[in-house]
Amino acid sequence: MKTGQNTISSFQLFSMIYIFRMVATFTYMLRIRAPLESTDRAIMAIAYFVFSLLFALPVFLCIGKQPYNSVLTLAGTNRHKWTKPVAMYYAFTFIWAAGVAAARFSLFSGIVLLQQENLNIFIFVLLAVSIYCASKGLEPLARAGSVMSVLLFVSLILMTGTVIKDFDTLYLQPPLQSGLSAVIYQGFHSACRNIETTSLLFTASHTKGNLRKGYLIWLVFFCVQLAALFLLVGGIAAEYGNLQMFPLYTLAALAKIGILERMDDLLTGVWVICALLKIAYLLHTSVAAIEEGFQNKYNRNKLLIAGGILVFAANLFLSQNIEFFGKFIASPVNPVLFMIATVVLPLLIFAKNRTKKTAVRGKT
Amino acid sequence: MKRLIIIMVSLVFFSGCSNISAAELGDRLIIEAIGIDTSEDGFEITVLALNTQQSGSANSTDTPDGVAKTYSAKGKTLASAFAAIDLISGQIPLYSQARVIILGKELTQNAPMTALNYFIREYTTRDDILLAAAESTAKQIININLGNNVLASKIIHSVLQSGSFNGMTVTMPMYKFISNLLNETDAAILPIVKITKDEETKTESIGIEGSLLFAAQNSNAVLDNEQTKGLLIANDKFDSGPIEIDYKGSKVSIAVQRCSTLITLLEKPELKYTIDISLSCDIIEFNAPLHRELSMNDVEKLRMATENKIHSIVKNTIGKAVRENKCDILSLGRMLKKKSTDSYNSAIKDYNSFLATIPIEIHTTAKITRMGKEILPLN
Repeated sequence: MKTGQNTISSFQLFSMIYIFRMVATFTYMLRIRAPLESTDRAIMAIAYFVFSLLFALPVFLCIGKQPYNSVLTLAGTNRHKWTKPVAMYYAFTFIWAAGVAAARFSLFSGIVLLQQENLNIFIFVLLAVSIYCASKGLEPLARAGSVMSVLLFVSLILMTGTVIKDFDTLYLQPPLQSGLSAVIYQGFHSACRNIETTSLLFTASHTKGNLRKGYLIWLVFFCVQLAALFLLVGGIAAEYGNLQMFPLYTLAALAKIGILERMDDLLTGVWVICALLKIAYLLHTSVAAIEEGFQNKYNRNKLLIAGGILVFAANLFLSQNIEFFGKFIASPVNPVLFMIATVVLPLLIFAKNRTKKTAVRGKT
Repeated sequence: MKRLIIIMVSLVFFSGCSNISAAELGDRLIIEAIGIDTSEDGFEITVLALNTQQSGSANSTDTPDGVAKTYSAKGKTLASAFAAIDLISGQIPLYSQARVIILGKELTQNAPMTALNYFIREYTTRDDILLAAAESTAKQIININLGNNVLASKIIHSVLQSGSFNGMTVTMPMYKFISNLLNETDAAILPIVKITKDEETKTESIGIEGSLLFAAQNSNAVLDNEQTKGLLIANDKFDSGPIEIDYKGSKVSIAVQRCSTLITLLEKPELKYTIDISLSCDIIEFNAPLHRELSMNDVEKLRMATENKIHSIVKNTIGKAVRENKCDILSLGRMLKKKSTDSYNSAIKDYNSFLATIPIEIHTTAKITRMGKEILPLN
């Protein structure tokens, strides 16, 4: 694959990240952790914003300014003895995140889409298509992502426009009914699922444009929508929304315009494609980590297939039932994996790089 | 060539399309309306479904089957009752087209949530399916005969949505009913559906007989049609509808064209609610032995009479529902919680007492805009 074919713009990158986070939002399971009251879920978006910014700092320190660095090529670490284990750790983290995404989507599909079907076949087909998409490289994924981001945003506006007439502020609970610490905790936990920030460590080197500005714009855009969606659910579905496993899906089910009722079927089609792109992107990034860490020693397509098998295995493990998935997601496993990948390793690599540069300048 | 082989191999996997859950629409029991009653062991379900297996056509000389068929079955739970319906119909049920759920009278006197629990978990059921309570049994309502080629569920659905222009029907989608039922203070409301039989023409029709109030998940009070009107006005759900006034020995029909209501909670000097109602009305009928022109004085008096009438309807409704039966039909508790959590926590300790004593002031402003085609006299 020529490097030129794998170069994308900042807009394309953050369009992809936007749809990945929106898919996670729409398949947000309300009752996995201690549920927040309606208004507090919207306030949680502020905590999410703050934590996401904090977690992004080490990433942006590492990638530097244009032309951006990849974390493994930073200051010549590609020949360091730790390069391979670090590459494998990142590959594992992205594969794990893809597995979580697949499991979440599998559970969502099993409840609202294909109640009587064998979901493993559905996920298998989804993964097969994702592997194919990932094999095409970053640029085709980014192009598809930027088109889907427009479709997703338009569908969101349509959905909001049709349900807004039923919105009543009376149904919203007073703010901070769940307590400030619960809101901060949920915001922290949600920010720890933002694996797309971690992926910038490998994707930035293939991106043109101002990534810092792009990230900030994306984060504000996403958090505003997150808060607005949770407020909508609270102000329309009220206590009924708290009973639903996927409250944002309930909102889509209530959307209707003219003779078009139950627009959730239309919207779910968009979400399926977005979920497919997310898994493809994470597979691509995990393979990119291995390729860089092992200096293109292995065949890319074989790596993708191996990655796909591991994602499928992770999905099988996590999607046994919702209770198990919920307990696992609420456990410290994901935050620990995320913090090591996004904060600890980039800071260590950045610090080592700075020490090495200082030592080199000192010698000269 | 490689792509052609891949496509041909993929075709082998399409045999999964013959799976039972991908059945043709004609093989599905397309449920239009659901009635739930209690039985000795549990529940009795009556469903009205499209007759997709009609034996005759409307144009043939044979008597065609109706467009819909009803099925009834019993079970200890709703799920087992529905499974029993699958057995007698031989078709896989499709709930996503169901428009209404009617709860039988006996069921509403016990906890209606026991019946709705099934539909909360059933993802194919519409969240905004309309709910209603039957005056007697849901089975009677679902089995109503409105004509051979008439889909009764469509009529029932239209009647339940008619509140926007008749001002007497509460339109209650399932998700709103459940939200109100689960809330600590709100009363949940259902319209009461009845069958009206005309002895002369031997025909049946669907009608509304007021509304049923639930507080703390038990049915508590019944409001008649006029009190239901008051409930809709007070909740800003009354878009338009007729009001009758007695004036100088004649009956005058006033059509409310626009109505808006604002409920405000005041904390100082004391905690009280004010309901401000403003109406825009037309005089559409003056029922007198001879045609009577209306002077400006008459119009002003009718305007004041309209205000008094609306005031009295709303006051009567609040008296029956809030004061007498302790049903918070105005979401007073939600408003209090939003404004002052401390006052709310204090009120919730004895909410019945709060509802019995909290001051509620009603202010009504009416405007007469039209009197039909008649030209107003100059004096």
